[in-house]
Amino acid sequence: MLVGGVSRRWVASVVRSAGACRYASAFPASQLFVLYSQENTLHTHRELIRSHNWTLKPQITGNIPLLRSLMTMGQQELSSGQESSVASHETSQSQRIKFKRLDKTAKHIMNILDNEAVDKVQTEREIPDIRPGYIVQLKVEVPENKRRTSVIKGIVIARRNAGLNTTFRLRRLAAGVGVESVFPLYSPNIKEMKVLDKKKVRRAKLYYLRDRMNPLKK
Amino acid sequence: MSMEAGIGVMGTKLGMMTFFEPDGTVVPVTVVGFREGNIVAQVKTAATDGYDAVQVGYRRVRDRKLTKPELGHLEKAGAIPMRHLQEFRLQSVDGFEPGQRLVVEDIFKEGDLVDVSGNSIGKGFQGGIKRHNFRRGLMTHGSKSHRALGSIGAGTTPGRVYKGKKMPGRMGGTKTKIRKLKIVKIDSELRVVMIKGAVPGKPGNLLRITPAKIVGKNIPKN
Repeated sequence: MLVGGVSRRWVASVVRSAGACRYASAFPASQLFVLYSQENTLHTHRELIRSHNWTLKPQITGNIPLLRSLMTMGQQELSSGQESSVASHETSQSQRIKFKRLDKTAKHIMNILDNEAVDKVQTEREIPDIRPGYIVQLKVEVPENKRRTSVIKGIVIARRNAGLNTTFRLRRLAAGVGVESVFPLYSPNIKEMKVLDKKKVRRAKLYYLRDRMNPLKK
Repeated sequence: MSMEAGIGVMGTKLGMMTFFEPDGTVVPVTVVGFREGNIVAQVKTAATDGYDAVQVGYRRVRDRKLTKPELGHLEKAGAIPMRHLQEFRLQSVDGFEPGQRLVVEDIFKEGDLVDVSGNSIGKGFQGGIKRHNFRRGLMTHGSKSHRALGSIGAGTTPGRVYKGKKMPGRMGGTKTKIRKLKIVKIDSELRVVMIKGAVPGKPGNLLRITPAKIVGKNIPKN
């Protein structure tokens, strides 16, 4: 009991993993929990879910808190000995099936999907950091029966963050006319992006440039 | 009652996101997740019940949340306690047994067209303009009627208001079906299906997904 008490207090100091290891012990997932902590990396979200037998939604207690805690905390330093002692103490009272609120699990899965999609595109193409005030050159493939045209060069005047659907507005002088275009950052049509110059601006959205047609490549 | 074009599943609306097709087209998709469920609870045949249908359950719950008759009904099929039961009326019920788990990847594949039905968002008591797309009156120029109904009938003949006259009332919160939506992606690991377009309800809503009923697939005259 003393051992259980000590380890429980110790574990409670680690944010939220207290609930996780209390319950996870009853199931083989506890082995995997320790495995991840030893490897000490934030595995991709899919691997975490795969390890917990795909019962992502109505869960045997602890898998969702387990998932959440593993995602928020990168490092766990739990020894398997302490964990099993906590386990044996708590097994008897933690056999309930616990359910998360529907919209919470919904948001959880949406986040995972979004992050995954972003990571996938990040690994495929090198996407530099684009902020308002940067002068950027893009190679865009327009799918209207043309290939590889459009080297577009302009200044970024706005950026809107929305996960996979992050877009930025580019303002350029095309054939003597000022043109603003909106591009999704992770679109497969943008073949290459290069940052040419960074101007100092004191705003996030540079809409005032519309009134100032400064011929310095705006 | 009309038949379904094939066995369907029940799912939960999770939210919406964008999906980039390989050629660069941006597709708005609804993400539909599947809780633990989609187990056949009962198979009804013409001999026993007078019609052919498959009863499918969804969403596991605690034992205490169901009444004993409901629990007994599910135990007869050897299924876990489930909250929602819906029937899919089919033309032939071969190949389904009680206790069988329905796997989404077998029934649907990418590029299929589906019908999605669910409870729409409730809007409460709404007036004619929002509920029936009526046009409002003038806002100025001495008009006294802005958002009112206007005339609701003729004069002495017929001397009454017809039944079914469109008037203000409760709007939304009813079962709505959206037809012919395309499945864009099926993700087996997260048990998630991405459907192009919007579906009724908010995230967390129960959905009923069936293969689309197109005249070519269905019997023309039953």
